[in-house]
Amino acid sequence: MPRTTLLRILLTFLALASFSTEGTPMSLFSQSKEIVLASPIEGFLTYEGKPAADVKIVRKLRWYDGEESTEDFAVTDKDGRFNLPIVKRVLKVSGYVQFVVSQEIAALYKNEEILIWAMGKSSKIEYGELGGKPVNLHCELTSDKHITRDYNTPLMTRCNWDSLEPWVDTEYPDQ
Amino acid sequence: MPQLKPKEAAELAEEVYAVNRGPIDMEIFLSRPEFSRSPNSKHELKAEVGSRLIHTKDAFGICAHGGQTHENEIFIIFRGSTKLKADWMSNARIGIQPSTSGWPVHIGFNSVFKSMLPQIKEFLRGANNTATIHCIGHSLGGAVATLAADWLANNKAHPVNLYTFGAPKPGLMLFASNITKKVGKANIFCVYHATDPVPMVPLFPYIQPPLPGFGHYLPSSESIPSAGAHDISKYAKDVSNLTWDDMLRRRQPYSIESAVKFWLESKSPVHAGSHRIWDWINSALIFVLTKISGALIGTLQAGLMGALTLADTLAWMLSKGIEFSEKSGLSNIGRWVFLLMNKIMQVLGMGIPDESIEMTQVFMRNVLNKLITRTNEQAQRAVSGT
Repeated sequence: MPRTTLLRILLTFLALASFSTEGTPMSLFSQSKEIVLASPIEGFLTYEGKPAADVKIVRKLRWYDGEESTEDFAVTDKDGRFNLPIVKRVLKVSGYVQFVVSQEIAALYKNEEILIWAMGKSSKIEYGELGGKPVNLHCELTSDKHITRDYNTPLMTRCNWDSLEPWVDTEYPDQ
Repeated sequence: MPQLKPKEAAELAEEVYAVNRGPIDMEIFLSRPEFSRSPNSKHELKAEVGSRLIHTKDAFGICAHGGQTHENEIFIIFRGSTKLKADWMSNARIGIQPSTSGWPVHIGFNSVFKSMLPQIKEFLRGANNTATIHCIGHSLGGAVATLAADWLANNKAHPVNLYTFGAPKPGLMLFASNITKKVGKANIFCVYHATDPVPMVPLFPYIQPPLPGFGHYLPSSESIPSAGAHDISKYAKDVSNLTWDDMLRRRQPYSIESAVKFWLESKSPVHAGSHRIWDWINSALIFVLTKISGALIGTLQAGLMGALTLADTLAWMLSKGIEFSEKSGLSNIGRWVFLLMNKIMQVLGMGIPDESIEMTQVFMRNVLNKLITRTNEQAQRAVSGT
């Protein structure tokens, strides 16, 4: 009998044997880690080039397929400046499961919700969104949304910045 | 048939993780060049046009028609859940059941795929039969993409391409060889890093497609399995400048019978931490079991009992081999069984067994149970970085 046929028969037996439930469940060996869900973000909001003062900016973060979420906000000052602090959590993560946090930041301008930032952050560290802290971040509410794939993960934004401060990727040091 | 480059397939497998339920997520995803409707296409492509998001408890899928650069092509991209509770890995999901095409596959992956199938069917209703379908996925998504490709190849007229990254083994040999025949070896791209533990599980008799074939392989400078090697971002970075041909796996030594025999007979100590040890053990197991089934085909057919576990069945077969050797005095099967168990016991840290140790069925079953447990544990520990 040819060898491959033997092998085929053999494996059918094993297949039948495996119909029974046995063996170790492939449990997820997870560990707790401090994750930066959102880096600090500070900048200027403008409408038609002029400072958009006293505007509420809402930041929504969702992770674990949206099962967990958090929200915070800031209000722009008279110069249109806003400042949202870092959001960190200790979360369980596992090498089997890709970690992603959805970030959405929108300005509530005259009863209209205008998106200024949307990104799925996969990096777990501070300033991992762009690979550094943006310098002179400014967001023009009347501009078109712009999608860029220049960073770790795709970003949709109405903001621009002049440059990024130097940054070290402590998460993937050899990449 | 149009095929995606490694970079495209990997990026799609990666970007799908950023899609949850929001329309914004879909809008960002569909702004990818593969789906652009016109050269001046703006990103305001509506998510509902030509695409669908499938969301189930354990997995997500995106079905989308290709844009101008991929006309008459359809993309079905799968990803695993980003939650930690993975139903597909739970106790209830271990074992084998028939795939939609009737071949043995892992229960967990199968149930995930079946929960998505109605929506995939609906998406494809009315689609042009000549449209090429690209099935793509990383990790669990890769296993589900494989089952999707299998269903498509058996139920639809569309030409199918399958691209997986770090996918666990979806089923047994008969499934692997069948999907290879149906989809076509040239249209299957199963990519894995040498040190990614996920494609190493579950252990034999689960087998990766394509079969025959060796998959698409990314070497690693380390020899220890690690979580980093499973990350889809690493896959995407590593394949970005490669062609599929660059990755075609060269024939590995443990697939050659003479090399397996040599390995079994060699007295040098076994390196339990090396990622290649499992490949050697798999090959040696196949070699020895094939010899036994060759001699004992009638006995095996008569003796198999369906309720036994895998370790029970393997131990029973090995002991039948020893019995045959001793009774007939003609064959050296008993010796091969001993050498195989010798290697396995070394890997498990049980030391090198004395020649006089009796390899009873019970003893071997216990050792094999330990082996099955240990491989799974080690893979998972490596993957979680602990």
